[in-house]
Amino acid sequence: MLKATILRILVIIPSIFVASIMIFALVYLIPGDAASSIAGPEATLDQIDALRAKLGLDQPPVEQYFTWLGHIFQGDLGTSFVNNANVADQIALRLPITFELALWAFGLALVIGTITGVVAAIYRGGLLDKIILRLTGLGLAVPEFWVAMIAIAVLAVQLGIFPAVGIVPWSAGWAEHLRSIFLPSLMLSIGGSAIIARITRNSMIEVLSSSYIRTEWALGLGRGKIYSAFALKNVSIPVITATGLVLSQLLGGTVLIETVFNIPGMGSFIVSSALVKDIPAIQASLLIVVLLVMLLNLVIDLSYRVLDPRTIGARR
Amino acid sequence: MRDPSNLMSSANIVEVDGLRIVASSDGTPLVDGLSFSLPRGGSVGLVGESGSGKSLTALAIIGLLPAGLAASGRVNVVGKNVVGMTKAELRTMRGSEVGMVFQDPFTALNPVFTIQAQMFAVLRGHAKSSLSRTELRRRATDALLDVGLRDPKAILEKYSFQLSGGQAQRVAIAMALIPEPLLLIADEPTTALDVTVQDRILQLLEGLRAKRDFSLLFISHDLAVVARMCEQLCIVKDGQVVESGETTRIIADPKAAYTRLLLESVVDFSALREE
Repeated sequence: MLKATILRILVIIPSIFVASIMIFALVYLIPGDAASSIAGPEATLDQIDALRAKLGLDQPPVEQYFTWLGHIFQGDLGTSFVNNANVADQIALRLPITFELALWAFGLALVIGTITGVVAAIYRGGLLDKIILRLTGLGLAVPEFWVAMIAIAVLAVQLGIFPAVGIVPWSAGWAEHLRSIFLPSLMLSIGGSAIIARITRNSMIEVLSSSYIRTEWALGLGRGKIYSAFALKNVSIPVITATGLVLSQLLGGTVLIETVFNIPGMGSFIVSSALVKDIPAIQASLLIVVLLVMLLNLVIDLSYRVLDPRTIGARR
Repeated sequence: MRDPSNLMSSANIVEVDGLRIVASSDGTPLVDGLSFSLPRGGSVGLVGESGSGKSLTALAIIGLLPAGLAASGRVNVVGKNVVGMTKAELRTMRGSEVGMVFQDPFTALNPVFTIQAQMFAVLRGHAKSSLSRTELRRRATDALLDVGLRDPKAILEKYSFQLSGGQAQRVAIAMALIPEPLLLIADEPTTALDVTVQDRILQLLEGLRAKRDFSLLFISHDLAVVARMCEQLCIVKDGQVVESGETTRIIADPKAAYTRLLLESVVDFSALREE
């Protein structure tokens, strides 16, 4: 168990390396030259060359990669090409917002997904099950940003229940803060809720028709006890395995949701940096997001090992 | 429900009369007019090949037919018809009136809970008042000792997949007997086990019956095993009873051609026949 756990943690190191290479290389696939776009249309070729040398873009790519990596190990995420701001400072400002948004969305997806999934499984084939299946189908198919735009138009602009854009900081009062972050979190959770609902439903159906649940019925245990005390833990194992997928999807979803709600988080930062080819900013923020996804997946993997005793593997 | 004929049959713990089990989708009959009765304190063996409907009959008695199957007819357990029972009535009947042991002990036990958690749930579910943890542990330990498990403390901490087949089946038997059922249904309880273990489980069931005095409905495809365990036999084929009666009589003088076929298929039967 301990050995497997340590191995699982160590495996993350080569993964980070591969990811860092891909992130670094990805930026060079973007068409156009960073130096010439930063210098502007008026610049002369000499000015562009000078800028390129200054930014280190004239070095061979491999050398550039190791310079970049070396700086990152020293905690230096680089300086923005566009406004000379420290990228690490900017990320430190934006990461907590995205992290909180994703966390709320994840919580909502877990609650909405498991409850609807369990209900659908219990009333399998009934009206409630059919409604839930249709809704999850919609949730998987409809783009979140589109629903978000409709929700803003109706719930925020027309009815005024929620603020239309932006996040009220904690310092302005927790109630106002939660009211402002609720709608974007809910919109961000749509896809995840649908995925978790589907997996919970299927897993619950499988568990409820299993031999061990039949034994529990045969022993005269009550419905509430069988569902809540026993079946839920059996069901939670495949659901937890799937939450890794949901988390990655959530963090990807922040890019659009933050743009729609005009939230100054990592998602909107990546978009604005990409628009102006601010290479250090793109690279650093992508790396941070990828690291976050890897770490969260690691946590999920380890908690799954605790939940499912079969992964301990020790027979007798 | 309150059929007056029930009063006359109080000597029988189970009375199955004209049981029909059909697939709801297309109406295919899986059990077709099956009838038999099990005297209180007695033992009956249902024998037949797989697909004959003997296991479905057992599940109908405990009210646990899989979804998509519909039962009709009369399945009286302690005078009450299980067909048409409410959920609450079924729950009262299960465990305390009828207990069941299944074929594969590994799939019959929940893989993500320790044996202790599963036994405690049964103890709590059938206790009249709340039990302390020490009391729960004491009762679970006793229940495991009763089924011949010598190290109950170690067993309680384990998961089903950490046990041997024989140990797991003993745990399943111990759990089924916690509510002290009047009737124990054993559905092929030794089929999934090694031959050497099979015999010890059968010995255990014989010993427990002598001590606890429960009625036994034993289901198997293996005529030799059933003949050893049961005073009466019901030979089942295609969802119907083709022959029933005292075990000694059926072995000595089988009436139905199918029974003779089953008898001939038992390899070493001469010894039993001479007894």
